[in-house]
Amino acid sequence: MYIPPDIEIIERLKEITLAIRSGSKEIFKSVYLAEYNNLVHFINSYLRNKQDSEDLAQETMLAIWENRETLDPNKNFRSYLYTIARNKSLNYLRDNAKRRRGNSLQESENLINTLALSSNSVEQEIIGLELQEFIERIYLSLPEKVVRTFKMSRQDGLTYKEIAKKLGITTKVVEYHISITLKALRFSLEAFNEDNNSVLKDEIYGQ
Amino acid sequence: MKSMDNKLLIRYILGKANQKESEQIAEWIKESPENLEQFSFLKAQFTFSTMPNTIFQDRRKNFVYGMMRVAAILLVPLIAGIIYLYFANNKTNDKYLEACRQTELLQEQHQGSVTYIANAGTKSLVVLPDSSIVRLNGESKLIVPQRFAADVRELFLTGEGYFEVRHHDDWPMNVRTANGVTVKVLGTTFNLSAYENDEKVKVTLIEGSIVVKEDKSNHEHKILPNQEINIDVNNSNARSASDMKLPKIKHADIYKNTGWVKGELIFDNTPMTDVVKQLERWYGVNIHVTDEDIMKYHFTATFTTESITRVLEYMKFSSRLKYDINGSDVYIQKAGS
Repeated sequence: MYIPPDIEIIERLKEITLAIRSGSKEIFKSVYLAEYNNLVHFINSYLRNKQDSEDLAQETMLAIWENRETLDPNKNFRSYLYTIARNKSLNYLRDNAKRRRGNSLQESENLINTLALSSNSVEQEIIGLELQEFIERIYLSLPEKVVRTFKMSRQDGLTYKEIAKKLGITTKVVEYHISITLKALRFSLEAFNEDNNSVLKDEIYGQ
Repeated sequence: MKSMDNKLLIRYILGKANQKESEQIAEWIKESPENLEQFSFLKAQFTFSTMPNTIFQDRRKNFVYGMMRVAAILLVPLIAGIIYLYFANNKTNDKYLEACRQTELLQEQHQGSVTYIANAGTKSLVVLPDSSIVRLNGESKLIVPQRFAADVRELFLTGEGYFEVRHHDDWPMNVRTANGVTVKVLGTTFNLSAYENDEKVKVTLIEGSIVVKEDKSNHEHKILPNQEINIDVNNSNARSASDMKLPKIKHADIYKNTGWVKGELIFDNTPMTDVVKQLERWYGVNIHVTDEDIMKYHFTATFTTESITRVLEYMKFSSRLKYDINGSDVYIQKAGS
């Protein structure tokens, strides 16, 4: 049976984390090769310096490897990876601001990039990596036809009428597919939010 | 300055703005937090939607539509650039697939199971291979095979879990514990409390039907919704039938037994011995009680999202106790001693 590549990756991200944690060099290497360009792209977006971005990307991967024993398979590996890259980038930008006295436009851009990188928007995107994996898992638990309808609506932007026509079903069936997907998402996302609510932890350490 | 034209912002993000425009935009961004936020948001979206190696393809589609809506007038180079990215990298990442294949090999070596852990002071949500859901309370561990067997869904729990099991007629689920009790279900919602340092295993059934089996004797007990069964842990070590205590089945206080799922810590005439254990699991602290008498006290209260300090303050007030906190160690004594 042909299993679409996306699904296999979703199921295995946790195992990949576990494998790296126990010191598998081969698997770490594959992940390194997979994420390197993405990391450079992300870092360079804010650093605007290809060479330094590549250095930071390598430093990030090295940090992951050296601290692999602290990897948590229940936490999204990619979110963790990008959080580290982000922190290193912020440190770099702040050091840069102190060191260099470039022209004022460069200083200005440096400052703007620092602010943009430390903004909540970036955090949301990084959390989004985790959410994305979570949502894909929910899609997995639903029948293929249902998910297909839902994606045509939410991702392709088709109207119910258009979907019905394309798939040869009634709009009532389209509505039904959408509604059960929303229910599944809502139910699981509530739990996802509860987990991410570290109210208790804050309470403890805020005493 | 009034709101900035998104088209211009996008050109700036792409690095296509000229000097004058760049200065203008920089000024505008620094003017207010709202402007900064608008810029940061667009930039973050752009950065993450144009990753060279995508894992899941669909994100890219979202951004293309988003950008098309934003860039009202077709800036041909802009759109061409994005569409090029979209088509050029429209395949799932091969390196991740390779990593996946390698984990498959490793998995077989490790007997293909995954262990989920919720440490004291935390809760966890686990989605099983069949999409059933288990919520884990503090200090709990759930061991799940990577793929369930064809004839039975078997897993292992120590600690406390709230199970929402998807119904399958010919595919039963068996939840084994370290305390010699196994819960057998087809598709139900139940709470299983099987901490290794507890005297009993408690199963609370919310809906559906389950069978609770004592592993040692193979005795099976059928439970109905809104019932709970308490099985003495020592039964699994008993040397003869006469040494075993009969499991007690009674009407369950669902609210009390499953409040933890909603973040409620409930004590209902609970002996201090259990209160201490629950506090340790809930907050991840170590509690030391100096006066043995205290352990005979009973305690009734409900807490939601309170800090450990608040709980201790309440105990101080209601039971004349005093406490001291040092890092994650809590010391409790009688007041006036």
